Amino acid sequence: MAIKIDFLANTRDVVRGGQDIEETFEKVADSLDDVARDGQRAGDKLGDGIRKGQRVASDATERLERSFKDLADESKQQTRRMETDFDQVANTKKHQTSENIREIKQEALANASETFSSFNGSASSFADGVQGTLGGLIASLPPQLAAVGAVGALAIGFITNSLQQADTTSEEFKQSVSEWTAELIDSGKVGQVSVGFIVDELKRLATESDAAQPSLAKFADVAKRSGSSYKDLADGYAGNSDKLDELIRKGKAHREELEKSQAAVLNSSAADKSAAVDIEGKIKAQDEYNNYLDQAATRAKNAAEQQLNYAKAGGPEMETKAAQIAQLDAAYDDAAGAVSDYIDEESGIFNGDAYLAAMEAKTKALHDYQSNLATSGLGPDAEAYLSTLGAQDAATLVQAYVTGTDAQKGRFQAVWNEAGKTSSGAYKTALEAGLPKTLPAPTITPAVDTSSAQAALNRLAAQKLTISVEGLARNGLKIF
Amino acid sequence: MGRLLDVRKSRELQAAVIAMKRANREVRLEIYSRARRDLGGEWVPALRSRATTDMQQRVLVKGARTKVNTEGFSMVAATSTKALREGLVPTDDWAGFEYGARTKRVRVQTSSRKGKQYTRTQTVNRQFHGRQKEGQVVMKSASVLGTRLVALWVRTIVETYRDAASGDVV
Repeated sequence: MAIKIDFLANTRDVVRGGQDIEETFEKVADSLDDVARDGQRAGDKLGDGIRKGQRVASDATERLERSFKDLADESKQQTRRMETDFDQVANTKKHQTSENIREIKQEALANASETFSSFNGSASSFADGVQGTLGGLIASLPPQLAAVGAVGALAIGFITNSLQQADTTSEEFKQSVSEWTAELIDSGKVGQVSVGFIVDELKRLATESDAAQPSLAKFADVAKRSGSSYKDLADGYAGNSDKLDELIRKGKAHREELEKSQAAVLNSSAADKSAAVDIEGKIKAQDEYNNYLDQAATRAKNAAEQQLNYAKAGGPEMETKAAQIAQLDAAYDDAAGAVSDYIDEESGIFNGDAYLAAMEAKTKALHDYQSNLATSGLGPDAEAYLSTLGAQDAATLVQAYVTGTDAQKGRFQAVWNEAGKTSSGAYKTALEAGLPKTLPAPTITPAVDTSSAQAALNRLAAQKLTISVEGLARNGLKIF
Repeated sequence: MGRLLDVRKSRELQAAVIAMKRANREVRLEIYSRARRDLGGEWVPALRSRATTDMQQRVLVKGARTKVNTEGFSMVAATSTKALREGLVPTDDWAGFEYGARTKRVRVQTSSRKGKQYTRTQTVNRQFHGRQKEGQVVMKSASVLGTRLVALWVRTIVETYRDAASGDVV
């Protein structure tokens, strides 16, 4: 998970539904008057006034900055006070009982429970609430726990927002296409995003709070109403695009089935036709479901096209070439810099002839490598892999390749191609292993169900409120 | 991760957040693009100047940018999902470059070229700076720039509103 830093807390509280936005705005808008006014002045006064105008404009911004700094200091002091209190209790614990600690934990839980009572259904308000209670905890949670938090939020209940038909021409959509394209180019795979991207995307969907945007909550809702699979939709939308075509086909088939059964009810002799109305609702939900899938497919298609354009423009080749040039340079430098190898240990005299002979041999080897590589007919994947080995090793391998039999050549090619792919055949397994298993379709009950959220919180409480940043390297070694 | 500014406690921030919420589509998109430009213009150079090693540049700075949405903005770094040579994936394994790490002496089992097994001591984490709990590049930049970025964001909103009113936007 990349590093992501937020600076604002409790924004949801300010714009929470129910209150009149315009009215609230009227109350606070004047606080920004001078920023607006100063900026205006900066724009108006051209010519010799412009310097002064700029100064005034930056004055207003600086004043803003100072006020935010004060705010930050204040909250820092508060946190420090809380920390001191906590420490004191922790210290007395040594002399008294562990009762106090338990109390604090319970208090934290109680506060969190209060948060839930004001919970309005969106994952974000959950995050904000817990943030308020536990001091930015969820924002800094390691990904595994954040997923738990998100599941908790989903399980509590949903606001069933009226779903708008998603618009594939909107600016937001274009932005997401461009993010996908960047990811595709970055991962170097054709039409496939990395598992990490999918997990990030799922997390983003879990905490999406803009009512107009797709979110896991909406997916779950639409899946439940239509009777189609929630997991498939979430998975496919987040970027597991392998199965998208199949999912779309399934979605359409399901819709046809529903239509048929509706027709059957209407044509039957039974007097009660209310079942048809139910099915109508399901069909509508299935339309929304299919629409999400179409949207995901369009996005994947657009991004793949952009990726293709990038490839056509020679982007990947340029990258490989740049890497090769850098390595050759380094190899020459290394070779020429190895002076100390040619100084006689006893006499301390530099053997110029031996040095020159060795350098010329190396240079020739590198030259051969370049011409061998040019005529080798290796595919781009294989070349990319070789370029990661460093020029010296690659030169040896390419030499072996060029002098090998045809059968050997084929096997070399196969091995290097596989190694050169950013993710090899193990991708599928990695994908399955990498997808969070903690995001099953939440059970939606009409009553507010806080049990899994409570469980998530218990786990949080068990964390003793210490947040550690991921210090584990991928191989499990602890870095710090 | 840093101290968050509580929006409820600042009238300016409330005004900005609500302004964001009530903005129509054109204005909102304009704010997005201006904020991306202005905040990114502070953020990326700050990271670049603090990343002292080539690896820090490659792992932390690559892909650093501003993300904007209706609820505000966030600064991201270490986003590259493409494995470097030898396989380090920046988005997964940035921590050592940001926080440094203490060197440790560990016993490793290895074998001679002839195959004889033996153990020896190796010092690991040599490639990192010393451990710095507060972070060296990204966290440091965030804590230095934090309030300024927020102020710039607010100013962007105000100015876009003003330009929209005078008809300069779309």
